[in-house]
Amino acid sequence: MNKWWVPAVVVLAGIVVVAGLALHKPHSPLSGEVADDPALVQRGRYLAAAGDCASCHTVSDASPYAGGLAMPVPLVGTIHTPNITPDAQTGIGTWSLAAFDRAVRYGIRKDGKNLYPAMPYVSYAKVDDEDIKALYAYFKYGVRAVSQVNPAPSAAWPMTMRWPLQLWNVAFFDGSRYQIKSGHDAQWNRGAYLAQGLAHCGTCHTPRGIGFQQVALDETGSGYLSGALLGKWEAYNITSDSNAGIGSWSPEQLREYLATGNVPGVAQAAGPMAEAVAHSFSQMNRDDMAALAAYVKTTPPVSTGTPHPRQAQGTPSDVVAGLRGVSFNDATAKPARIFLGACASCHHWTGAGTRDGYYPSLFHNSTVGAPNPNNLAQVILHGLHRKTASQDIRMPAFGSTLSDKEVAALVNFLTGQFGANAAQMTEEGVSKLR
Amino acid sequence: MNDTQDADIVIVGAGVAGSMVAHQLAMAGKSVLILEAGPRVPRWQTVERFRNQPDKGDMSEAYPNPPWAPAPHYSKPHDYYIQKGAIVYASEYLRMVGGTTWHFTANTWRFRPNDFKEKSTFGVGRDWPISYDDLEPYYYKAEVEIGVTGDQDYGSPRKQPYPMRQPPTPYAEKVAMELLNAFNPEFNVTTQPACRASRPYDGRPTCSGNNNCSPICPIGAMYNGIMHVEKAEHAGARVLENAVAYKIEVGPDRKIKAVHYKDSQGASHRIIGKYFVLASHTIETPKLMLISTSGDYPNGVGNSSGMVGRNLMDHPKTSVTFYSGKPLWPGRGPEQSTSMIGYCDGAFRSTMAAKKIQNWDLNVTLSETQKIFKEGKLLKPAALNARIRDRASRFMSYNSYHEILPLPTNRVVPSKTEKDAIGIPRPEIYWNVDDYVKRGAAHTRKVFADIVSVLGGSETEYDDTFGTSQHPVGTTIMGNDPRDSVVDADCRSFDHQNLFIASGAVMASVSTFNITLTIAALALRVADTLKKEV
Amino acid sequence: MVPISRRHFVGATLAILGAGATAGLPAQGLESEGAENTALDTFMAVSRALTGRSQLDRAVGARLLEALEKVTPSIAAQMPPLARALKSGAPNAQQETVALEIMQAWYVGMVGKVVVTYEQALAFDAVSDNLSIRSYVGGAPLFWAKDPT
Repeated sequence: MNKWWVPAVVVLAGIVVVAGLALHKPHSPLSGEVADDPALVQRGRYLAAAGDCASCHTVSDASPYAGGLAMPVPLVGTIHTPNITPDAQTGIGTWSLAAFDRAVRYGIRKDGKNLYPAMPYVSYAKVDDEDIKALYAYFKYGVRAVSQVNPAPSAAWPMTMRWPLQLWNVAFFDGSRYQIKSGHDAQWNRGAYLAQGLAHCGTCHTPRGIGFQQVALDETGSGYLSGALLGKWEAYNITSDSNAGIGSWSPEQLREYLATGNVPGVAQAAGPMAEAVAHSFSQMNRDDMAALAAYVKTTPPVSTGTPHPRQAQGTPSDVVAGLRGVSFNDATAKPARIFLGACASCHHWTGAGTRDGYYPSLFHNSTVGAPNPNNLAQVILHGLHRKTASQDIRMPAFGSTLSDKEVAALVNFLTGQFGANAAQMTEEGVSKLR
Repeated sequence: MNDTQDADIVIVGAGVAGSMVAHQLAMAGKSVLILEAGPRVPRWQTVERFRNQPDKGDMSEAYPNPPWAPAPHYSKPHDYYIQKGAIVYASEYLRMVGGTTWHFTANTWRFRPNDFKEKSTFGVGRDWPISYDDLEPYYYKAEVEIGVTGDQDYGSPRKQPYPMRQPPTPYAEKVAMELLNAFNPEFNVTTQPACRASRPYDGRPTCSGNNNCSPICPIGAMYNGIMHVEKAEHAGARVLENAVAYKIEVGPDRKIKAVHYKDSQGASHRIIGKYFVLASHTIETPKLMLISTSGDYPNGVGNSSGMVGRNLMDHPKTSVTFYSGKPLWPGRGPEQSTSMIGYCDGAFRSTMAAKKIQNWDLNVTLSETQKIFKEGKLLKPAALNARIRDRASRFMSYNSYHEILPLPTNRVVPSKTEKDAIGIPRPEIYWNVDDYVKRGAAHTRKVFADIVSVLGGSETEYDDTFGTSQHPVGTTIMGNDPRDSVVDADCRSFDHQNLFIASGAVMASVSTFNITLTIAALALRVADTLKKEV
Repeated sequence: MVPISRRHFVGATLAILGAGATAGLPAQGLESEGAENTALDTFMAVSRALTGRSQLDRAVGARLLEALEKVTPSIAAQMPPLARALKSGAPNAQQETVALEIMQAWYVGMVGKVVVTYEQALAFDAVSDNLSIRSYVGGAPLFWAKDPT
């Protein structure tokens, strides 16, 4: 049979798609201006911390929000975050409230181009109108204007075209505001509003599908917060599963982790999460952190990732008893020797850390106890810096004093002694993390 | 002759001076090659070797002392030095990548303005060819590079605030400081400028009181020269370890053409360069110049003045130990946090040596326990523990850095007969202290007695034999006159236009202060000169 | 000279040892495999009694005993009579010398110049409220201004 109608259908479908695309450039419902009201600006400052805008848009503390952070984007290459200070030429100083909102909650720039979803507008869409107005007031009146031009994306044509993002949005962008759920109390709803919206936990902690989209945007979606790999770091499963997630943490431990980045005998934040603690969570109030913790603790359990609680593994080491006084050289030094020489000064020769928990224990340590040793290797190679209002913590980097082989041996020793099982890190695996 | 390599700038010595020069020049885009006689050892190995060593007071045992790059080590300096003087010279240093700042005590003082003009001010010693003001901007630059804390100028005027705030003073030293200053304000016991991070700095963690600055900071809170070695390499400089320079080759135009070095097997290699910087500390630098003899240079390279190797200075040291009346608990925190600076400068310097007096704030539990066992009495545990607590909490140790003037008779001379394992001459040291120092030390003894009395001390033991303090300087002295100096105000050799010296060896006075910051400042100044020329 | 109070050295461990005073003590020429373990057991019991500790690290003890044996080859054989003498409260001068050697080994972690332990040297326990062991952090940064007295 002669399918004469096939080409016509295809052309018609194409017209429908293009028409649909043209329709899917939504506009902000907000209009007008916002006054320079100190209380509103202060509220906006708090919400900007909640949204962790600084982690992407601040590269140097001397010029906050001037952008310039290089970020890898799949299929595109490297983009640099824009300047969101109120500078008229190089920042967003000429943007109206509507233009600001269109970017933050709809992912569309003032010039009409789509933003890459590296900007988490998918999450920020949940934020309510009043909070957007406060954020706008902060970025207009509360941030110092900085003149800074940032590099254009590294992609070459055709990957510079942004209209395919409209297709992506059609497929994956929900765009709805957060709706209060009756049946849950005010604290839960506040936590849900923060987690799904400004705190955008899912951006890192929810796995992604074939279109690089989060597989779920709230607790009703399957796989929400069940963990993901982000380049060289693992954002762990933080569902309520007792083994694979944080189900065996108390709400207070979770709140303390977010507020300080350090729960002695449980976990310390490093890498991107240390930044989130430093720039965002440590600057938020106790009630909001308790709400966030309460919500996250109720997410449906997902048991992928690990068969045992990461933070409840390992025992103190007694390697020192057999090694003290014994000579060694490059050839004969065991991994335990590297542990004693490089780690034990702060983490104690038993791995117990200090009594006050300032220097963490290596056992009962959620990073050392994780099956994937990459985060541990990262911390050894690059160190750790976590600065909050009350503490400025620095663990030095060991990448320049340990070879790939030594790092691999050390990681395998540490996970064997202080984790659940010895990892099988290789030289090559370490070299890829440098 | 195995091979020939080349670089714009060839630096001999990968310590703080050499690596700072290398870093600056590599960042300016020059090709830089550093030859280091000794090996490269990562921090974690030194930490473990320290913990493995029986005498925890030995500050160099954890470090290598290979036969091709021997150095005077703490407990056996005479394996290397050949003592030719009236008294023993025993200052030790390290020959390895990173140099001697692996195990200093983090003291980063500036000299005083008068230290640069002792001849015109006091009629003794020499004037430097530069003033304190000339060096002041480089002192600051060095403080930023190294990461220095402080809370006052300590008599060395400064234009900029310290890069980091001063950390708190350990209890024992704070109590002593208050009591001593109340007894005699002339003492002027103060905190001191130091290079231990008081907050995360440049990737370094905050000092957490390992009480182990010397011999090794386990966590890298204290500055070590290795940090600039790594920065220099990151900027493109190359380091050749186990490369022992043994000959400086002069070209027909009196410029240095090459440096020859031997590897650990004794095989010879040649490095050609445009500019050469000797940065091998105060004993090896003149030794290398003096053994680089040839037909044209029978007295060695750069030695038309005859001063290479001469004017060796250091800080002749006397000390006192005692047990304080009340427990003060030394050994909590850094190894040294206060100094008595009341006698570092003053009109008296025309007749007697100035000095700085400091205490050694070390945890002495093990050595005190060994002393208790030496008494030969078997004690019950409770009594033994109480005795350990009593002794460890009250043991106090003070020492003094006297200034010795540049005396040409104090010198380093390569031995004509004694050689090391790869055939390079060992250094003969001619060393003595003169009456200028002895007069100063007599006054120091009185101050020590006052300290003992103020702190309620007993079982006092004085050590008046003049030890040295690991602060050698002066052997390639700076000056305006090529007849009595080796390098000019830019630290350039008077004899060889492309030869510079970045080292304590150029210093025209030793003052009473620890020498590292001044070495670093001079090195950064050499780097600035080279950046313009190379 | 502080004499050892006869009664005070009878600790629980010695009582246990005393209960089986003859069982398991090495005799000259003992050939069984357990001989070395038994010597270590006795050494550990004597060490616990001398140091007043109910627990001492056995791995450290084994190495200390080995180091002591190099200096005093007969020391293992001297353990049982020393144990008995300590229990009965009448060690002679020579036994006190051996006891002192053993105490010193545990307290400074060394036998002569041979380092067996550093971190686990008992001397440090005597001052651990105020002093940390050199090359290990003393506490959170900048702690040292606090008055320890």
